[in-house]
Amino acid sequence: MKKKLGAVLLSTLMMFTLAACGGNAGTNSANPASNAEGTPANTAEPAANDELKPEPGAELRFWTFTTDLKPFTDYAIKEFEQKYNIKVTVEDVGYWDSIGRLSTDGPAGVGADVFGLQTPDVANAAQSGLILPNDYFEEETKSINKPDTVAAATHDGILYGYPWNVYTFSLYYNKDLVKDAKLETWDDIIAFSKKFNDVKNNKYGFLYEPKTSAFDVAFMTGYGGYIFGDNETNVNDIGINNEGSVKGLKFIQSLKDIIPLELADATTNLKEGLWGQGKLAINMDGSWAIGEHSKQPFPVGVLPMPKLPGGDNAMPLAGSTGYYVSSYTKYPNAAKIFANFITTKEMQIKNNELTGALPAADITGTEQGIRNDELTQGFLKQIASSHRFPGLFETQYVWPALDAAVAEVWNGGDPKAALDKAADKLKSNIANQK
Amino acid sequence: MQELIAKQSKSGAAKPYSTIATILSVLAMGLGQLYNRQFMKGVILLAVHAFTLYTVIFQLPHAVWGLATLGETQTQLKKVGRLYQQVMGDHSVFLMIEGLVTIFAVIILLWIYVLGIKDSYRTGKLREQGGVPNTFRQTVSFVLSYRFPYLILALPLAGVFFFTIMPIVFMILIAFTDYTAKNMPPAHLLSWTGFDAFRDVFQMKGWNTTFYKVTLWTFLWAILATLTGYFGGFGAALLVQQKRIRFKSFWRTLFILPYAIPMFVSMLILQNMFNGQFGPINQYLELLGFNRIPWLSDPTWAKVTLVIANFWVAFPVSMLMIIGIMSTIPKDMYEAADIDGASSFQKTRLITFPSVMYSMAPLLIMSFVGNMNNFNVIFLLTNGNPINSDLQFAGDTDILITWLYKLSMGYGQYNYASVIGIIIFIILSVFAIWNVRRTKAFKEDTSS
Repeated sequence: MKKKLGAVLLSTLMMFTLAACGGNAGTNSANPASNAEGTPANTAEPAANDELKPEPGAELRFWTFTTDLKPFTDYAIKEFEQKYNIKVTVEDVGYWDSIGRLSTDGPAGVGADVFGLQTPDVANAAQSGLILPNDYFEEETKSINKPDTVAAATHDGILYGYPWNVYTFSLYYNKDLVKDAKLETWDDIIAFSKKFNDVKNNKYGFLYEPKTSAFDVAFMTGYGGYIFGDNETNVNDIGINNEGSVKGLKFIQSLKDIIPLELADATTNLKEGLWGQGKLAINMDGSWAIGEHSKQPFPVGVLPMPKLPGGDNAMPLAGSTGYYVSSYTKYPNAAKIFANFITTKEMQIKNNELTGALPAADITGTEQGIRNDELTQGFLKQIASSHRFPGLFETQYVWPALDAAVAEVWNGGDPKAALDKAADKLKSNIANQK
Repeated sequence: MQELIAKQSKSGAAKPYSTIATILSVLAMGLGQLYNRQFMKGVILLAVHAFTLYTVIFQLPHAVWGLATLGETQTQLKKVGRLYQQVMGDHSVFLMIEGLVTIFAVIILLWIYVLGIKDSYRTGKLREQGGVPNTFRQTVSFVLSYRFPYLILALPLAGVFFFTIMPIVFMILIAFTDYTAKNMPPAHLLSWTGFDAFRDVFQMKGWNTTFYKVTLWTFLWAILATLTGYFGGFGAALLVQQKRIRFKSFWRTLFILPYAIPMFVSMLILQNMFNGQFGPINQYLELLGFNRIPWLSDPTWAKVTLVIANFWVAFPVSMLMIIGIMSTIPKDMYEAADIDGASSFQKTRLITFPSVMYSMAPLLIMSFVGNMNNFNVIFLLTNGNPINSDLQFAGDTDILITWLYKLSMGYGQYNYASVIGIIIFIILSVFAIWNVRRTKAFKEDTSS
C-alpha cells in the first residue's frame, strides 16, 4: 500500500527528530516549549539604534537555486564571507519547496537560515510562523524597492522579506516569422494568427497556456477585472466575476479561433517545442525564461501586452521573489545581515548583470550594470504596467476555481455563469477555512 | 530423603509463597522476585519499576496534558526595541507525537508489570510445591534456547510499533483536529474538532458530492483496470501458448516489454501520445480518415484513456503468471477432451479457465486492491483532470488516493486528507482481510 500521505511522512520524520533529541519518552517535559533551542532567547538584545552584530561563530545555511543563479550566489557569498568572516553553505532548494522542507527540517535544526520564497508563499510561511520579520533593515528595504515588491513581502502589516527579483510575463516573438506585421493591439495579433495559422502542420501565430488561469487573468485586468479588491489585498471583495472579468473571459473564449486546441492539449512542453522548431510566432511566457529565450537560434523580441479590443492594455500578473530569515535560525542577526547583504540595490543590479534576473529595486533601467538587451529592457517596461500578484493566503483557492471556469468557457460555456460559480466556490472555500 | 521431602512440604504448607510474592510484586516490580530469591531478575525489575515511576510521575502528566489540549501557549512575535523576536510556544504536532510515544511506553511498562506479577505468583507456586526457582543463569539460558525467536523478533516488533503503528495512529488523530494550511504549527495551536471533518466530507455541500463521485469512480476504475488487465493477459497467454504459434519466446518477450519500461516513463510518454492535437495517435486516426478523439480533455474519454493505458502496463504480468499456471495443467486432460471431440473453445472454457481462475482468484483481489490505490497511472497521465467545477479540489478522473494527495500536498487540507486516508484504509483492510482469510495457505496454517 503506497500512501503518499504527507502526514505519515511528516510524523516519521518527526520520530527521527525526537529520537535525535535523545530519549523517546517526552523530551524536556518540565518545559512546555520543547523546541526552545530554536529561539533567539539567548541573543543579546540590541537596543534601538545599536548596530546589528552577527553572533560569534555564526554559520549560515542558504537555500536557493544553484543552477540559474550560480554566478551571482558565488559572487555574493564570496563578498559576504570576506566582509563578515561568516561561512555560508548553499543548497539547491526550489522556492516552492522551501516551506514544506522547512516545516520539518527547521525544528530538526537542519533547515536553512535564509531561503527564497515567491509572492504566493509568503502569507503561508508567515502564518505558519516559519519566517522572522525584516525589522532591522526595514527602512532600507522599503526605500530601495518598488512598493509592490515590498507589499508582496509584507503580511498583516509586518514586513518579512528582503525582495530582490520581480517576474511577470509578456509576448516573446520570433522576428523571422513575424517580420513587419503590425502587432499593436490584440486585434492585430488575432488577424496575424488567422493568416499565419496552419493547424494541419502545427504552425501557430500565437499560443499560451489557457488552462493555467494565472495567465488568463492578464486578459481580465484589461477590462477592469481583478481577483481581490483594493489592489489585491481585500479578501471580502472578489472581482473574478465583475463585469470586466466576464468581458475578459469572453475575449479568452474568442481566442479559441486562433488557438483551436483542447485545454488539456495546450501544454508548456508542446508550446516550447513548437517555439523551438520555429513553428510558433508569438509565445506568451514569463520573464523567468529570458535566459532560455535569448539562446534561441532565431532573433527574439519582446512585445509589451497589447490593447484589448475596446479596453485598456492587458496587464499580466507580476510577482516578486525575496529572501527570508527562518524563525528556527540559531543566528538571527547574522542571517538578517546576510539576507540584506545579498539584496541591496547594488547586488540586485549585479545579479541582473550576471544572471539576467530582473531587480525588485526601483530602477530606471539605465543604471550601470543593468543588461541593455531587448528582452531585459522589454520586460522592465512590462513590469511597470502589470497587475500585482495577490499575495494573500486565500489566493490558493483562486486557481482551482478559476481554472475550472476557464475550462468550462473554453468548451463553449457561458462566461458570466462560469465566473459566478467560480466566485461562489471561492467565497465558500474562504468561509470554510478554519 | 523422605524426611527432607516431608520437611519441604511442611514448610511449603506453612508459607504461602505465591500469595506473599504476588502481593510484593503488586507493591513494586521485582520485590516478589527478590522474595523468591531471584536476585538478579528482581534488581532488573526494580530498575524498570524506578523507570516506570519516573515516567508516570514526571512525563505522563505532561503527555496527557499535551494530548488533551494540544498545547496552550501560542507562538508569538514580540517586538523588543527595533527587533522582533519569535517567542516559541507549544508545538501541537510534537506534543501529540510525544504524548503518543509516552503513552505507548507506559502501556508497555504496565504490561511488564503484569507479567512480573504473574511470574512471581508462578515461582511462588513452584516453591510451595517444593521446586527450586530458576537462577538468573538458568533463566537466561532458558530464554536464549526456548524463547530465542521472541528475542530476535522483539527489535523489529518495536520498530513496527514506533514506525508503523505510531504514524498510523498519528494520521488517524489528525482527522479529528483542525490541521490545515491556514492553521499550521508552530505559529498556531491545533485543537480537537471531533468528527467535524467527517461530517463535512459526508454532509457538506460540495464536499459530499465530490466524495461520492470520487469513490464511485475509484471502484469503477479498480474493477475496469483489474478485469482488462486480467483478461488481456489471459487472451495474450492463450494466443502465445497455441500449439501452432511459432517463436513463442519472441512473442512473450515482445509482450513483456511494456512492463520492463518504468511506469513513470511510459505514462509520461503516453501523455504525449494521447495529446489531442499533437499526439501521434490522433494524427494516425486523422490519416485513416477518422475524427480526432479528445483523449485527455473529455471526462469520459479521459477515463477510457486511463483504462487503456493501465491495460497496456498491466497485462504483461498477468500474461506471464497465466502462462505459468497453464503449464501446470495436466496434458492428459486436453487429450481426453480431444478424444471426446471437444472444440478448442470448450477446452478453454471448461479446462483452462477454471484451472487458471482457481489459482488466480486471490491475486485478482489483490490486484483490485492495488488498482484502487493506483496513484501512478492517474497522477502521471491525467493528474485527475479534466477539471470539474462542481468538485472540491478534484477533477473528473481523480480517485481517492490522488484526491487525498491533492488535498494534503496541494491545498494543505490535512484533516480532510486524513479522513480520506482513514476511509481508504478501511476499504482496503476489508478486502485484504477477506482475501487472506479465504486463501488456502492461511487456512492450512491456522489448522496446524
